[in-house]
Amino acid sequence: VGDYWLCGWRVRSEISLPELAPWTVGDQPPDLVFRKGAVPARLEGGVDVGPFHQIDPRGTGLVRLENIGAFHITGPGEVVVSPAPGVSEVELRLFLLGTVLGVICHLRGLFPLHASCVSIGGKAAAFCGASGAGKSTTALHLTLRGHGLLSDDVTLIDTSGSGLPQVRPAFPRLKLWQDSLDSARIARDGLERNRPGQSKYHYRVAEAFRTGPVPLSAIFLLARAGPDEACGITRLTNPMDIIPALDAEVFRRGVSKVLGRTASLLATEAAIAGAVPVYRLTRRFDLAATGDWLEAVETTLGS
Amino acid sequence: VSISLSSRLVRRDHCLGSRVGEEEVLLDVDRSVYVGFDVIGSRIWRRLAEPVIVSDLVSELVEAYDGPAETIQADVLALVHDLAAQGLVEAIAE
Repeated sequence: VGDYWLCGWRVRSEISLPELAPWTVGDQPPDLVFRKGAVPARLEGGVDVGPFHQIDPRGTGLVRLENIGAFHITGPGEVVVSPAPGVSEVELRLFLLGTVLGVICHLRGLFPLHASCVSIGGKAAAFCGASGAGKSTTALHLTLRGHGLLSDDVTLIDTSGSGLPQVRPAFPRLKLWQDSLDSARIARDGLERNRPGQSKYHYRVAEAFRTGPVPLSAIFLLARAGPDEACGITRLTNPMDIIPALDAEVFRRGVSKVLGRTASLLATEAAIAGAVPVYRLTRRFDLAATGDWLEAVETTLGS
Repeated sequence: VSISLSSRLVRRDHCLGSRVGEEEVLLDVDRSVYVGFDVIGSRIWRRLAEPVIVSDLVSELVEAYDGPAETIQADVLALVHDLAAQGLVEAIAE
């Protein structure tokens, strides 16, 4: 059993989670417990939100994945895990810290944005985009320029306070394809594979991980420039461009719908759109030019 | 949909609303579409939370923006026509 930091919570886990920062402060009770145990085949009163996911609108969830295991989210504070025979620990963690974490966010009323996030001078910058748009690679390169990694793939945003929305740092690990590692000249020796046989690797950022909330100061929608398209950073000003774009990037959005939270989700998107500048970042996948647009990102955050 | 200056209009309530600064963005849950308003359109939409006669709406806007009555009347009629066509507002009896 280990205690770790996860999204600002103290998590106590019977499953080893080496990618999380160990819990170091105080003796408060855990906010979240991951324990091994028996998991029901179906959720009584549950609604299917996908082929492998069920949500009970009263606030529980079940994720059942063949050859991986089953995860019963019994409430916002506990996940019971039943690993499939022979599953690798890395795969079990992958879904626990991905889909299952997404469900927990929705149950807790936090906004999970499908984005990677980096702290630049104490300001959080989130990077959204479809798979392959370069979220993790962008975060990697900014990390190598000395900025702090806050999250990979899913960024938790808390809009419950009165000021700027706050990012709750998740954990210091990036999932990177071979070409992303190559782009940063990182050798894959010793890195754990994301899934057996996949050329995607887990890269842990060794530097001190920040655990407290960071004000969300910019959201970048990553886009790849076409042959004749101009590159650069453009701020979106029309809420009609921003809100649907944010909505499209809500991680495990269907969960929120089943929980009857469509209205509060829209209100959260509007709150973010009103408080945080949103930019479209268009660039070419040209390694030589990477430094230029990373610098432009830093400048945008500095201004 | 027939809307005139004497029509009494009110929002239909199947939309979720949100506000960013002065601008309203609606989510029409039935059709899964977003509807956005500029600043003046947002003002009109907010006004339509309660039943209002179109000519009164025009008068209020002429006064508020000190603009040419004919243009404002035409713009308002065009907007409410569009809103009615999209099923976002309905005419109700006096």
